[in-house]
Amino acid sequence: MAQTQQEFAIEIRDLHKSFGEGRYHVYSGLDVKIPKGLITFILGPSGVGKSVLLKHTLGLLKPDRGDILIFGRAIPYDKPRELNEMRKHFGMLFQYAALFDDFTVFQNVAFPLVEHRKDITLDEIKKKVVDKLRAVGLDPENTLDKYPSELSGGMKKRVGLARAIVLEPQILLYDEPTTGLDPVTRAMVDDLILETNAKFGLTSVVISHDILSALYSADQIGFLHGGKIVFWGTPKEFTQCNHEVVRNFLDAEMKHRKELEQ
Amino acid sequence: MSWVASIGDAFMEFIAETGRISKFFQSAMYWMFRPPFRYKLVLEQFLFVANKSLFIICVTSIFTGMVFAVQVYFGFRIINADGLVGPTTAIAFVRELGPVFTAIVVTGRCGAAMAAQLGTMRVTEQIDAMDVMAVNSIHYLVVPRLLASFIAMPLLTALFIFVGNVGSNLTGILQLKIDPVIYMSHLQEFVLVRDLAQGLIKGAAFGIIFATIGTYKGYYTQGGAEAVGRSTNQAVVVTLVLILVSDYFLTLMIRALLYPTQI
Ligand SMILES: Nc1ncnc2c1ncn2[C@@H]1O[C@H](COP(=O)(O)OP(=O)(O)O)[C@@H](O)[C@H]1O
Ligand SMILES: [Mg+2]
Repeated sequence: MAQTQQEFAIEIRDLHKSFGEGRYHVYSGLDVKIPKGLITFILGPSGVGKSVLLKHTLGLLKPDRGDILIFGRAIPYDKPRELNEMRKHFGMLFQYAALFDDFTVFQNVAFPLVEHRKDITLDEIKKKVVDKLRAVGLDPENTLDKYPSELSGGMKKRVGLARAIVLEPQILLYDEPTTGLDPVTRAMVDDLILETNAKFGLTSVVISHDILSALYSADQIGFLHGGKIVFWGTPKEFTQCNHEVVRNFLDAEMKHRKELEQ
Repeated sequence: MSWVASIGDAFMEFIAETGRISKFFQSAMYWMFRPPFRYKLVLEQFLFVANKSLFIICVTSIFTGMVFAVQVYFGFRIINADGLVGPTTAIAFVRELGPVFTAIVVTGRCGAAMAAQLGTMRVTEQIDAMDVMAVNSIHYLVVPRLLASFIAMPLLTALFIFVGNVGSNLTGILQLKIDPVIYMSHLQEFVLVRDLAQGLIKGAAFGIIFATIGTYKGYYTQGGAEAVGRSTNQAVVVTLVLILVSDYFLTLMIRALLYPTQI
């Protein structure tokens, strides 16, 4: 077989999706190829379908038309067990971390291990949880027994990230990781994305409308508008892009920066 | 013309919703018989449904029994049949009042709570997070609640029947001055094992109904925090209607199965 080394982690071909019985089109022929090992940002204004894109990638939503390949394999929608196997390739950090409210930090981070690693002992689970909490910059002693309601927004994100990487996934998805954060926490999350990608050799996909974060962390940037990718390239190319909507998006950001410089 | 169309729309929506609920239920059934079997979660939910309902079941059933005895007594006294207060209460509670009232009380407490819990998990993306971590959320969240309700409801129904009859008995004897021997005398002739079976089967069926609707409404909550309130509200209303409607059909079915010779 002429099976070459797969160079894309995620490949989306001609994706169509609408809601409300076809009344509202989110995508009309979307093509995205996420290269392995890099950090790819998908930017776009609110409501263009960024989160819906992640949900398609994970098989939580089914396309009306088109194909989604994960490491070259189509998503097995109709086979729940295979779908679960495929999802183990992924870790995801949700916008508000989506930690389980009635679980402690330890129970939250241990959850995927408890569910999927029947082969390891509780002590080994504890060790892995502590390792991952340290990897995202948390002090295990102070956090293990806390409940999510006792944590700050930034700490929740860190715990969410620890939970996302605890099964050692190959692809890490972030949904608006910096939206609504204070500047210090936002800078911290930017570094966390870079560090995590380097430390674990992952493919990262970040969905965001935060241009500065993208310019800081991204290897590749895609811009989503009107159900299609209207720009694809490096951060440098992005700042020079002449597409009208992208330009507006960039100029709005730059206006604020100029204020600051004066 | 427009009201005809809106009735048509409402009817189509009703059909569509029924279809979605049965698909949800099928999916729960699919996962119910697949490992891993999470006994601990079932036990946790069982304690939630059963333990925490004990007090409210006792209070509502004893007063239902008391008022029932009073009403029946003043009716039966006219035809000198006060001896039938005991058996009448017993039959009514065992066949109907036990399962239906228990279901109504537990729906208000637990069906609503299930919708609120899952609704909150949905709008805060906790359900998505679970699925993303390759743990099927129906398997983890819905199946234990269905099983626990299915097991707990017959027990709570039995408790309601027992305490309700104690209430009726006390009122009959202490307040209405019915002879205790007479109150008890015809019980065995009137209340048979199959009557009890009827009540408990109904209880289990109502357990499945409130757990299915409660988890369904919560699981498919769309929107923010205010949507959780809406789901909870809808869960209670839909469950109560379904319980009272299905009660009639369940009665016909159970009679056909357990009472072949009686009219
Ligand atoms: N399950 C759904 N049902 C109906 N409409 C949806 C659903 N999920 C998302 N949408 C709609 O699709 C559009 C894109 O949503 P989303 O991907 O969340 O936007 P964003 O880019 O801000 O993340 C929005 O208009 C949203 O209302
Ligand atoms: Mg979004």
